Amino acid sequence: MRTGAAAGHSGYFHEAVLYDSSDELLAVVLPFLLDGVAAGEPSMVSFGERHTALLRSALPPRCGVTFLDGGDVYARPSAAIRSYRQLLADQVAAGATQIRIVGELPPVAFGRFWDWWGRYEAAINHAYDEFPLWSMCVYNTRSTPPEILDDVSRTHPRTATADGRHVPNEVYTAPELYLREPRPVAPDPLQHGTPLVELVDPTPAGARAAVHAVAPEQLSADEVDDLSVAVSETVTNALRHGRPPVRFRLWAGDGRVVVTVVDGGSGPTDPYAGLLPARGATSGGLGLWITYQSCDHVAMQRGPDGFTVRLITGGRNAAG
Amino acid sequence: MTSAALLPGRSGHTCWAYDDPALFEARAREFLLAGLAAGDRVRYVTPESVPVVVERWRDVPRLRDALRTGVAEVCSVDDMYGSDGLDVEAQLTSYTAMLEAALADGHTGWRVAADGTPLVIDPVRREGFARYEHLVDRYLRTRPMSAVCGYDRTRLDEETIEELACLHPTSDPGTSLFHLYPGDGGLVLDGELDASNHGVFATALRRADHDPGDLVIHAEGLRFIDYRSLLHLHRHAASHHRQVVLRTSLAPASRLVALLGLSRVRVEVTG
Repeated sequence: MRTGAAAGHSGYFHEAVLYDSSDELLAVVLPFLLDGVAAGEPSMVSFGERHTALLRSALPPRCGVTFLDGGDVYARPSAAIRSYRQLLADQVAAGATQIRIVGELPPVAFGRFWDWWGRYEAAINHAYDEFPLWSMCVYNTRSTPPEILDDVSRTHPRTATADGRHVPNEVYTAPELYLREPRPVAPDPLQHGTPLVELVDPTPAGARAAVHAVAPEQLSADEVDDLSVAVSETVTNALRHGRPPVRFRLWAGDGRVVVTVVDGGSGPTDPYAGLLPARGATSGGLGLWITYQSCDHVAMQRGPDGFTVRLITGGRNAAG
Repeated sequence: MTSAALLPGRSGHTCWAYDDPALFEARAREFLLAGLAAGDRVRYVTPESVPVVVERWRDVPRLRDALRTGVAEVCSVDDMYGSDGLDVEAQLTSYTAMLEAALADGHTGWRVAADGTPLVIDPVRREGFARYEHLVDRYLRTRPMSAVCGYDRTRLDEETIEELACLHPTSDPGTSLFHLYPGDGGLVLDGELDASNHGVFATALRRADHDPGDLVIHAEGLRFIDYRSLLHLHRHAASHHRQVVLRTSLAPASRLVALLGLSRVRVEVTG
């Protein structure tokens, strides 16, 4: 039996919390967690350091709330989805009838890489819907840009308020629709310059060789290896599923590498492509999902030139 | 000392691809002349008429002398490998006899350059010869014998040559992105594996791996491996072994194995 606002709800009960003070945040989050513990429901927190300290000081000692080790769970959306799905599956297997989680995205998500976290917030309505999950995603209305708050309202079916209400968001947009909307991708500043490498119809090996020739000046060895994986999969997808010509371009500077792969096709039809392993995945259907977990940012765009995948690695913290 | 033994742990077994038989012969002659200079007995295996080739070779004094004394031989593909199915065991036994005779005669080893094209045009015969390529490599690893196998690009398609080239420790640039060959207690894998050679890798693994028990792959020389190849190793392990151990310095290999839950592949990260 699920308790609280999600009682009787089937699947994922996804709420936003829009707060403008610590008191307002605690007014929503404390009862959410403590009621969960009282009902015997696993109740978890995934906050950054500041809010973790705030919450720890506000909660009674040894109250049964679990603080998830933040670690790198929010480094990349696809990895976050994978980690949470595993966590939820484990909890259900252990007998949980509802799992409560309150979380916040790290500051880096609110910069120019917001678009893929917006897609994350939309996609999890589907990705977690097989679990009895009630989660709250907290956003500070003082520091979050208005366009991001608009996306928050469109990706969360409800907003939880400090006075205990759970208000449906009228602008909520089903993930399949939200994820199919064209989303303009601002060019990385490096893209205003001439690419260091430009290849037409490259082999995956040729594209990897370009990465290894240029990227080590900007990235760590692990980042170069991971970018090489992403580039290889992206070029393979363009050659196999796109239309010729396939154009590969690479820019590097300021501690980061930007790669675009353009083909004449229209890109994947699956709205969750990249965020979740392709549905009915065959051995060829995992490349984009792996790419999403091998770069610091992936953007996909359809335009008159065809379909573009842009990969960025490095300079994550400078990107906001 | 034959050149093979100068490279510890690596056999002198290499694959060349050519477009012009005359160029292959010229290159093979250089290879065999180097063998003569090192004290090896040498043999050239050709699909051409043997007397015609011998006549050409007599123009080169060093070869003429070697042919006269029997230190160099020219033999036909049929005489070397038989005109129908290859009996690998008998073939390797005959190599041992040849090698022992060469050593008894004071030579440092035996060096062979063979044009294998006629042996691999027919797919059934090719399957047997590809398996032979792997077994002969295992044989050569520990013996003072080295060999070059040549394949004609004008008579064989790219994938056929790739399937054969990848079973050699070394091959001409452009013939195969990877190599899979016998190593200490397992197989050695080097180069790059991606979607472009996935099928060839699967075929090579089937041909090269016949030992029961866990398969150890020494992949220290591997520069790239994609998830398809790791998935294939996992499935291969499930049907042939308990586990495949992949020794590699490629960090993404461990990450992909964890990401895809490939329980049958254990990545041992090497320095």
